[in-house]
Amino acid sequence: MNASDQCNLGTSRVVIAGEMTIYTARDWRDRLLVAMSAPGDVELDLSGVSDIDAAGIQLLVSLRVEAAAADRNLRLFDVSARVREALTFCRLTDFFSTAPLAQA
Amino acid sequence: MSAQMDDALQTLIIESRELLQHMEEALLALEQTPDDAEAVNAIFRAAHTIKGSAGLFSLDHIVAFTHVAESVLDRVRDHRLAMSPALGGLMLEVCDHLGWLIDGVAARQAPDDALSGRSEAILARLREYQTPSALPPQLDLSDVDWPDGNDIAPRPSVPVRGADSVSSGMWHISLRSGPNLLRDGMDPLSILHYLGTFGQIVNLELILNDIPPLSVIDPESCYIGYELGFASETDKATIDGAFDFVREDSVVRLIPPYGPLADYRALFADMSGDSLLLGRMLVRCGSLTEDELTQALETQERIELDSQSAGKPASLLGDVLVAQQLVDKPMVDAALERQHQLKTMTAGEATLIRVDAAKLDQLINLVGELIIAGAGAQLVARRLKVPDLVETTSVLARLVEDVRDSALTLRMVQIGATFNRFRRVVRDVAAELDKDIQLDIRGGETELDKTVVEKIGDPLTHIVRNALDHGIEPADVRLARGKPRQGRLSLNAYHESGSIVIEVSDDGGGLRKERILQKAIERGLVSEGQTLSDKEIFGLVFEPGFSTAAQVSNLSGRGVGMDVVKRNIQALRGTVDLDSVEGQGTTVRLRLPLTLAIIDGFLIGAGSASYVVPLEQVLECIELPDKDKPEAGASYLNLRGEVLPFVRLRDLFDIPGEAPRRENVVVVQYAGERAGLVVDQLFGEFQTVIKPLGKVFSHIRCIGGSTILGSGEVALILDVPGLVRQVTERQPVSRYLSSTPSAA
Repeated sequence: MNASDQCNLGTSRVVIAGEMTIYTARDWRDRLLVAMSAPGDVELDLSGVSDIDAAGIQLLVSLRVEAAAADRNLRLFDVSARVREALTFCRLTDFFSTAPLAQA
Repeated sequence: MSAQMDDALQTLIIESRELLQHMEEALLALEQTPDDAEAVNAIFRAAHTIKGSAGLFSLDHIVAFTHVAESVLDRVRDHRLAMSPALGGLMLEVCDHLGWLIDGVAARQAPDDALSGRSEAILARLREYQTPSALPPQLDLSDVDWPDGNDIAPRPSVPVRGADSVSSGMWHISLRSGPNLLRDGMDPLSILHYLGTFGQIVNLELILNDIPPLSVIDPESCYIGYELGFASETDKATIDGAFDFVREDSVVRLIPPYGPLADYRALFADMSGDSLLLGRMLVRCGSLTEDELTQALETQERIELDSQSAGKPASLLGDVLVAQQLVDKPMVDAALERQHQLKTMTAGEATLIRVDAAKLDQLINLVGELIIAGAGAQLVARRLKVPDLVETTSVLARLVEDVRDSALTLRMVQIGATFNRFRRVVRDVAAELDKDIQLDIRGGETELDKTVVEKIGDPLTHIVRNALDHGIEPADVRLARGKPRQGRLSLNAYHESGSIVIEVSDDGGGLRKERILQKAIERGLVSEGQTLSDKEIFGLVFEPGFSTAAQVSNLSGRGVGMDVVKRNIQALRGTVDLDSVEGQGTTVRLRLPLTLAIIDGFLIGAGSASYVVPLEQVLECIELPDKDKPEAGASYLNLRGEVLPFVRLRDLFDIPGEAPRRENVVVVQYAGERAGLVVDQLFGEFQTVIKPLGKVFSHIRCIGGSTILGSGEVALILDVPGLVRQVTERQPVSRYLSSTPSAA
C-alpha cells in the first residue's frame, strides 16, 4: 500500500493504490480520516487499486456519507477497471456520481 | 493471501477431499443398490457443498464444473433421470476430476490446459444428461417444478398460484450482514458472484443506510446488506446453500417467484428500518409493483396496530404467517427437522478434534522417554531398598503404562477406510478385465497404528490386483468349473496375539503347485527331487523375479510385485504368507505389528548381554531339562510330548564363556509356529521403546531393534518371526525360502 496525500487550494487529494480490502481497510480508513481533517473537498485517485471487496466498497460509501454530512464534495478520479467493475456490479455508479467516473 | 484466508482455504481443501471420499463411497454403494435415495442425496449434498465453498473462494473453474454435475444429480434426485451404470461411471470420473482440481488448489496452481481439457470433455458428457434447456434466456416459470422448502418436504406437483401471490417471476433475496462477516473471511459480494453462476442478478439494491460515516465506522465490521431480484431455475435449496456460510449471524430471507405477498409483509416486519424505504427498494428490484407495495404496507400497519392494541410486541414472522394460514404444515415440520439435523451435526463435530500427526508423534516420543526414565527411577529405587520410594515408583510405573496405552490408542485408526478404498479399485479393475467381482469387507473396525495403515496401502493394492487379475477366472471359465458367475474377493482384518492380521482371499483358480515347483526348478531356486511342504512351495511366489502368470496383463504379472510386497511388509516388522487350494481360491495373509513405537517386552539375559522378546510372543518359560544338556548340538526337546525346536542364544550370538548350570527356555510363538530360546537368565516384563537399528544393520535378521534399559545399557530386541523361521526351517531349502542368512 502506498499513498501520497496532497492538500492544496482547499482540496485534499488521496491516492489509493494496492488492495482496498478487509486486510487493508483499517489503514485506508486512518488515511482517509487524515484527509478529512483538512477542510475542503476530497478527491480520491483510485487508478492504482488492484482489488476491492465489500469492505472497500463500504469504506467508500462511508467516506461519501461523512463528506455529505459536512457538505463537502467527494470526487473519485481515475477509477481503475477493477473498482469500476465493482461499483457497476453494486449499482453504485450513481451514488458516486458527484464526480464522473473517469477512465483511467 | 492472509494467514486467516489460508486456514479457511486449507479447511476447504480438507473438507472437499472428505466429501469426495463420501461421494465415491455413495456412488459405489449406488451400484449395488441403485434405488438408494439416501446415497443419491449424499452424492448431491457433497457436490453441492463443494460448489458452495468453492464459490466463496471464487474458485470459478470448480464452481462451473460442479454446477453441471450438480444439476444432473438434482435430476436423479427428483427421479427425472434414472441412475445407470454409465452415469455412475461418469460421476466417478467427475469425482476423480474434482479431486485433481482440488489438488490444484492445494498446490496453488491454476488449472493447466490438460486439466481444463478434461473438464470440458467431462462437462460435454454430463450435458447429455442435462435438461435440453438448462437455463433458458426467457424465463418461463409456468412449467417449472415449484421449489420446495427443504430436501425432505414433498414437492407440490402442481404449482398453486394463490390469489395473494405477487406478479414477479423472480426470486427475491434479502440479506443483512452480521457484523463479523468480513472478519470471518466471507464477502457478501462474492456470494452474489456465486449466485451469478446459476442465475441472473436482475436487480440489486445495496443497503447503504446502515453504513456509518467515516469517523465512526469500524472498517472491519460488515454493514452491507442488499435486496436482490434473482432469476434462476434452480431450487430453493441451491439458492439457500449460497448463504450457508453467512446464515449464522446474518439475516437472510428468500421469497420464491410468485411468492405470497405475505412473505413480503413478513420481510418488512423482519427487517429493521424504514418500511417505506425498503418498499421502494423492492419496487426498484422489480420484486413488487407499486400496488403490491401499498397493499403490503397497509396490512403490515394493521398487524402492528393489532398487536399494539393487544399489548403484544410486534408480530414475528411465524406469527404473521400462521395467523394468515399461509404456511404449510409439512414445510414448517421440514424446517424444524432440518434445524434439528444441523444441531446434531454440530454436536457430533464438537466431539472430534483435528490434531496434527506430528504433534502426536512428538507425544509418543516423549512418552517413550518417560518410560525409559521411569524404568531408571525404578531401578534406583530397588537398589536403595527404601520401601516408600519403591512403592511410589511402582505407582508411577503403572501410571506411565496407562499414559503409554492411551497415547498409543490416539494413533490407532480403523482399517475400514483403507479397505473401502478398494471398492473403487475392485470396480475399476473388474471393469477393465471384464469380470464380475464382488468385494466383501469384514473387520473394518479393527484398529491399527496410523503409520502402519499408511504403509500397507501399496502392498495391499498389489495383492488385491493380483487376486483380481490372476486369481479370479473369467466368467466363462468359472461357469465351466461349476462356480457362480460372480467372483468374490474378501478383505478381512482381525487382531491376533499383538498383531493385526489382514487377509485377502479370492475364490478363483488358486495356485498350481506343480507349476510353481517347475518354475522354481527352472530358475534354480530348488533342486529337482527335493520334497517341499505346501507352505514352502507357496512361499516361492514371494521370491524375486518369480511370476507364474501365463499371461502378462498391464495390471500385474510382470514378475515384479510379490517380492516387493514381502519386502515392504517385512520393513514394517510384519510377515506375509499364502494359502491356496487349486480350483478353490487363494488367501494371502499379512501379519503386522499393532504399533511401531512401544511394546511390552520380556527381558532375558545371555552372558553379560540383555535381550528383549515382545511379550505377546512369549508362550511360557521352562527350565532346560538336564537330559537335553549334554548333547551340545541337539536342537529339539520334548515339551509335554511335542517336539520343540530350540536355539541357544549363546550360539546364535556367539557369546563367549561357559553357560551357567541352570539354563532356561523361553517358548515363543509366531504365526502358529513355536520355538524355544535357551537363555541364561529371565528378568521379567519390561516396557520397551523401540529404537530402530541403523541402516548398516538392516540386513541382520533375528534382531528387530534396540532399546535402552533403566540402567542405561542397550538391549537388543529379538525379531521373533525371524528367529522362529531360523529355528523351524533347518532344512537345505531354507536358505532359499527365507532371506535369512544363517547367523549362527
